[in-house]
Amino acid sequence: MDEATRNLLNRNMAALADGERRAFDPIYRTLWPVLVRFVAVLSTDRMIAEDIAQQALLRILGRASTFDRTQDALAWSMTIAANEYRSYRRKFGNRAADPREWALPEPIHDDTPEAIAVRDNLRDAARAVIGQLRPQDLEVVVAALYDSQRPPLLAAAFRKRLQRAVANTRTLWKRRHGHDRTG
Amino acid sequence: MAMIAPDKLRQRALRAYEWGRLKHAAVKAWPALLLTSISWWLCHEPGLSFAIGGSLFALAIGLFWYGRVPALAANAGMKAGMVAFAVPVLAYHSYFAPNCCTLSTMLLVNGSCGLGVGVLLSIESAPLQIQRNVFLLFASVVASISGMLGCILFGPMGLAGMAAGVLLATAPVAIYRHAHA
Repeated sequence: MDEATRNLLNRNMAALADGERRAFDPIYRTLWPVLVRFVAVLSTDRMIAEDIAQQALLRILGRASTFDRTQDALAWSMTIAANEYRSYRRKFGNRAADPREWALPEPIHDDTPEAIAVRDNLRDAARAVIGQLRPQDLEVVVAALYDSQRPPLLAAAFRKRLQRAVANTRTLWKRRHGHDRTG
Repeated sequence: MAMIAPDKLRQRALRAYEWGRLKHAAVKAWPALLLTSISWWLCHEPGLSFAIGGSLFALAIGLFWYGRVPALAANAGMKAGMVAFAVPVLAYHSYFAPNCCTLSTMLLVNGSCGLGVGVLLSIESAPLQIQRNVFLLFASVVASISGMLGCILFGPMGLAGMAAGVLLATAPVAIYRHAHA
């Protein structure tokens, strides 16, 4: 999302919070594709992504009157969507596995069922951890991973924030799964 | 989690938004319930307290739900209304209470309180760019009803005194602005 659209979204969200119903449709049109893409990054399943994005959109608009205009509307919306995804995971069996289950005793070929299962588990675990990140961390991680629109920061500040986000990701990972090395 | 048809999603989202606003409005209108409870406790007129308090709560919810200038007016009216509520209650329970129960003192207390609230709201409406009279109207109504909850102590004359005070302060401002618009 470019800077102009983002600013417009901020203005529209503030107007909607004040009761300006004309701002509803522009917000709806702007947020829907962004939410679907964002949840698709977390879930990789387009159908599930649309489903969760719908729930997230309903929740965002349900809370629109409590929107704090000092916040960024996109980051606020993405936080709600990430929470919605986390609730979905919790609801549909996102069991935290025993750390020993993740250990790789020896290198496995990519095409074996075991390798596929391990890869899937790792991917799910990474997504669950990313879903727990703070909105500002999530923003820089998504920007760095997918080369998308960066937050308005100097390159050095962005690198610093990214470094902090990666450190936070590691902390979350260790809290859920123990140490991230298997050796 | 059931998938919603794309054509129905906008409708559902709009409904979610309006419900969200209504819930938020009910939360913001809580001072009306507080004033009603205090009024009922102090004035021993449950019927009148609930009738006036219920109208105030419904009106505040409606204005907060609608948003924009009416919501600002409800907010300002509620704050001013708390002052309008407190003044007659304090006057009635103060050291000067015995003198407060004469008709002239009661009219003076309630009338000047209403007048003060009206002036406050007129000043608060001044920086608004649009719909200043709408703001003044709704804020005055909310403040008057809040004040009336305190004026129940003085009976119908107290209620009339407060309403007259607010009207006296706000009506000339509104008429002046309308004439110069």
